Amino acid sequence: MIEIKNLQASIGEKQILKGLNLTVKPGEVHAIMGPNGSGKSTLASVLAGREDYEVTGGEVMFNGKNLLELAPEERSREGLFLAFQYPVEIPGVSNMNFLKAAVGEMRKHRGLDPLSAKDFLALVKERSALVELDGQLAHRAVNEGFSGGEKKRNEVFQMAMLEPKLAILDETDSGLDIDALRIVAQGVNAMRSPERSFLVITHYQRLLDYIVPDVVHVLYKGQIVKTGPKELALELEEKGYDWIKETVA
Amino acid sequence: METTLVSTFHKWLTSNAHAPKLGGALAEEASSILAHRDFPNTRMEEWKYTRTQKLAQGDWKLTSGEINSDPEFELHQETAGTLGQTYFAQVNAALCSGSWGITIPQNEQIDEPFQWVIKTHGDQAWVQPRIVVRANANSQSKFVFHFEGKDHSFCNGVIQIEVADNARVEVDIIQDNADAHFQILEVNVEQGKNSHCNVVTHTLDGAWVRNNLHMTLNGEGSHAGLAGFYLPHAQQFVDNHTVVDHRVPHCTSNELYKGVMYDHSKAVFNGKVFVRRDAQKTEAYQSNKNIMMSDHAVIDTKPELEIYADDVRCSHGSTTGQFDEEALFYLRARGLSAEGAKQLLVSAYVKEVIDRSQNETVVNYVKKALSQRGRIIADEI
Ligand SMILES: Nc1ncnc2c1ncn2[C@@H]1O[C@H](COP(=O)(O)OP(=O)(O)O)[C@@H](O)[C@H]1O
Ligand SMILES: [Mg+2]
Repeated sequence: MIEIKNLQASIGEKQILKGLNLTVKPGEVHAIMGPNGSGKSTLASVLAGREDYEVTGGEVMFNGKNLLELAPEERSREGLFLAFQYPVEIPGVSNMNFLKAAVGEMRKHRGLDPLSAKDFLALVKERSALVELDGQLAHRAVNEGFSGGEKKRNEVFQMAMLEPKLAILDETDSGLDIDALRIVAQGVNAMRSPERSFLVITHYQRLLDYIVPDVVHVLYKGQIVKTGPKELALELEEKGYDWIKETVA
Repeated sequence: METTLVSTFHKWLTSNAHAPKLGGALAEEASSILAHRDFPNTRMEEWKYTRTQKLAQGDWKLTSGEINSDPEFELHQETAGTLGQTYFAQVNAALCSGSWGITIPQNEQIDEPFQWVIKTHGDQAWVQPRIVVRANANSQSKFVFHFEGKDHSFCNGVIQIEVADNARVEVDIIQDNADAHFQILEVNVEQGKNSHCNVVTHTLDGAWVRNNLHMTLNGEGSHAGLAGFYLPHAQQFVDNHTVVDHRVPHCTSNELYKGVMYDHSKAVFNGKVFVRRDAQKTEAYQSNKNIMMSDHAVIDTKPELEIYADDVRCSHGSTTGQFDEEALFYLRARGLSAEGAKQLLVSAYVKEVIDRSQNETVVNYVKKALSQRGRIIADEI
């Protein structure tokens, strides 16, 4: 699915990713944990193609394509989805029209006919139900006036609409109460399939009670410093990130 | 230099000595005033950011242009209106190429808009239309002034509107000009008691546009609405000078102008709101917002509020910002092309202004025109 080799990236003068290696196979769920500021969002942003970051070394192959050469929209159409840690509010642009455009681009890229208005609405209904998103929200402006939880559910809803091959969830659990967390996880789990992979970025272990990962990585100071089975998340929760800091130091 | 500027009007007058024009007392008065007025130039406060040399150099030939009104109206010389204050309104009075007067009878409610399509075609063509509207008490009416300038031509129009007590008037101005066309438009609105007038200016295209919109609230309880958008590209220039004059108490005004600046374009916004000493309980809001799509575009914006009354609610402000890169990235990360994402964001941005028009036909026309030119996505707004 995705193979990241020795990835190095910086912003301005500051190097943030310092030689990161990671391979995710189809159908796998990988969790990336790590203390604040370790570079988790940077990794997600670099993979999605945010231009603020400069890639200074390494390579990323995504289903046989050189990911780093693609524009953000091409990455998306190739099947990479990033659920933003901070979803952007876009006043005046309706969620629905935006999604119609996004789904249209994705289908065109995959050689599929455009969905009829009826089929599109049916899909919206089905996929918004996965995250128990109020139907009314779909008709409002993108994320405008949404609560924190609604924004995160909207991200997962969009993910479900776009049916990506690899979904990167950047702290989709942050700021959620336990009910909202369960709903978000339920949406993600509904989309799990042998062809679809997930990179679940989280600071806390509790999300991983609901989205059970195959592999857990610890990102620290721009590198993966530890990789293990799902039990590693529990160990981290128990011992705290200082344990990692000590181990690495 | 000074003499050339003063003599510009003489040059135009002389070279159009035999052109058909309306004449009359108004024209004579205007001519004699203009003989002593300087041609507008950047040393004048009202023209500080607006270059007029190219306009002055033009060898313009007065023609009646092609003006279609729907439904059709008679030419009424007696409804030539008033002289006006600005230089170009007076040039229009002196050398008017066609004048229309229309009166909406008292208590009449007319749903179907009155529409003028004013065409200025052909190199050197110079059209000076004058339209005088009187909406009598308690009437309701809608007007569309659709300007279409082609080639290297010049349209200097004057629209005067009187809105009597309790009358409602909706005005849409469409400026859809070619890349070498100059347009000056003076719109003067005088409002009576409890009247309502809303003017929306849709500047789609054109080399050089200067709009003067002057709304005077003479009767208590009246409301003035002013809205406009401009999306100049290449080297286009758009200048909106507006004045809202609150002369009496208990009136409201709401003004919103938005610009999207591409390429090397330039725009000027100067909005004055006067609240006279007697105009207590005035509510006046004014806002000018701009987004810069290019590092080379220039905007000069100056909202001005002059308040002489003490019990009023007024606000004004202008913002000029870069394009929202975060929003752009978000949309692209969901598969929209950079171009498509920009169009979507611009659509959302100008929608707020277009929506102030109460004329569905105009709204649809404008959306279609802008989307055909790749500025917006019509379905999105
Ligand atoms: N736009 C930016 N400008 C400067 N520094 C940044 C920027 N974004 C992130 N950083 C820095 O990069 C480091 C990693 O940040 P980030 O990837 O957001 O970490 P995480 O998501 O793991 O909390 C931090 O030290 C942060 O301060
Ligand atoms: Mg982060």
